[in-house]
Amino acid sequence: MLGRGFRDIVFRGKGIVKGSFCGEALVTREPISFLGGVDPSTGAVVERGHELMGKILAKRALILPHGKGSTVGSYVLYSLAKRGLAPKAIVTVKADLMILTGCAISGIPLLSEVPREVLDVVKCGDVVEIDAYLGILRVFSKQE
Amino acid sequence: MRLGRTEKMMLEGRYGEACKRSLELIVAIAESYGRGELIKIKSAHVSGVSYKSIGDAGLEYLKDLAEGGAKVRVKTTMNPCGFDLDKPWLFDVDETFFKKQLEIIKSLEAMGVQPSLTCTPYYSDNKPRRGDHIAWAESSAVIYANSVIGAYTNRESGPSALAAAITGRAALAKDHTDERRPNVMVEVTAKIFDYSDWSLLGFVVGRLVPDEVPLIKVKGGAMGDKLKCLSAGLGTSSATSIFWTAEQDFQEPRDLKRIVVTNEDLKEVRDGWALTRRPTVIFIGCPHCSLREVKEIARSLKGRRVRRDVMFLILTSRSVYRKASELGLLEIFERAGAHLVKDACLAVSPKKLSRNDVVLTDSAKGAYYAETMTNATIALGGRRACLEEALGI
Repeated sequence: MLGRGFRDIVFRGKGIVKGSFCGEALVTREPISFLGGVDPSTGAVVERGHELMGKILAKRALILPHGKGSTVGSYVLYSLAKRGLAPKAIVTVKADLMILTGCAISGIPLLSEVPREVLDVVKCGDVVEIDAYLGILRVFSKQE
Repeated sequence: MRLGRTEKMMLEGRYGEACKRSLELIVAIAESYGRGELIKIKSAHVSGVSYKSIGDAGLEYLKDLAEGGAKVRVKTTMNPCGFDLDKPWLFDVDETFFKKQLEIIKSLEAMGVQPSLTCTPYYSDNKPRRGDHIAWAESSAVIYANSVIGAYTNRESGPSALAAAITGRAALAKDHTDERRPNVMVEVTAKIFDYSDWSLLGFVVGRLVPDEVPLIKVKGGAMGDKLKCLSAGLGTSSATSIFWTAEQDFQEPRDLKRIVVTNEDLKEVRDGWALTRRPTVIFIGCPHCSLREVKEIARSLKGRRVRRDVMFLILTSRSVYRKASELGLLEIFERAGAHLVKDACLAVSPKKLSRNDVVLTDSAKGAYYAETMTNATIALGGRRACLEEALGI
């Protein structure tokens, strides 16, 4: 039962790698390089100065503008996924081939082309539902 | 999606399971990221070769493809690995790393990928022509191929470039069309001279406009090797696949959004990578040095001697190394106590670098990856500063 003044917010995007996830969001306005930017042994962000520095990607939905840097990032994502250290779903504003093929070969649901506004509205720790079949991102009970 | 006869046969599995899976991946990319069409490619370049970066999962992925009978259909080259195959001891390679690294290279070779082991295939092994459609990974090479050579390639990932090589087809997306025009003008008031300045400029521009196509205006312009450094810096901090320069022949779009890059912008990053202690390792060649650069460095080293307490690495491709050898340059490096190294990339090497190590390089890309992938303290300096520190002059 939701309290007064709370409601769910729904964003539309394009479901690129099919699948769904419901759980905690990890949000950043800064692009991520999976090679170098993420520790392959722990799945933590390790880029100096990155706003997610030290945060663990596992078990969460990662929401970011797009990838950056090394084209090897796809293999890093694949390797993280094989060991249960990758995000459970990824949402991007823009599609890029590093994240796209990384998700495709690892079976990580990927929702792309969501409005940039998502990066301001969704906060780290918010509970979100991602449906990459229908292309929907739902943010639960945000205060109006 | 409209598919040709060969493509249909590939999807039916008539060219084997590996080819089928690869085309499925390319088709999925074309449908979601591209324009629902495929384009035939003339060459491919794959990244994801070092065991340090792709790990056991990546090795299994490549082995599966190789054992599934995958064969590349176009000329395909590969990125550097974790060490120089003839000088593994320089990189603290242990038995496991050595074995797994060779397995990765063998799997790629079994598919017909040439063991070029370089991030600069365009210097010798794999030279696209202007207008060629190709499928390259390695961000610095993608940006160089699009911006300097005038070829057309998506910013492919390691696995998508390999899938494109196996099928001979890439997803037709914006980067294969002439729509890839600049949408932001970058006016550079900062002073840009050295290789290191170009690489840092690319890094700073990428941070400012990480998903745009920049038109970069630098007083005086630049030539190949320096644009290579710009490509590498830009590729590190952005998702960009191409830049334009004022020297290029094209219709400049009107009313471009404009940003300025000043000396201050460069200084801010440079200060974060300032040299505060004597370096223990110095490396040049991220991306790999061209023959021209190797000659320049040889000239500076001739008759001099590298300090005993520093390891000085100059990284290049095996094909440039061969040419340097033919020119009799190897002796100069040996006599000076410098290591001209091929096949390798320091950031993805197993080299043991502790907190006590100080690594100096002239490449912003090299600094970024060495910082995030090792424990060492990183410093960025000009090429001349690197040489002077190495020689203790």
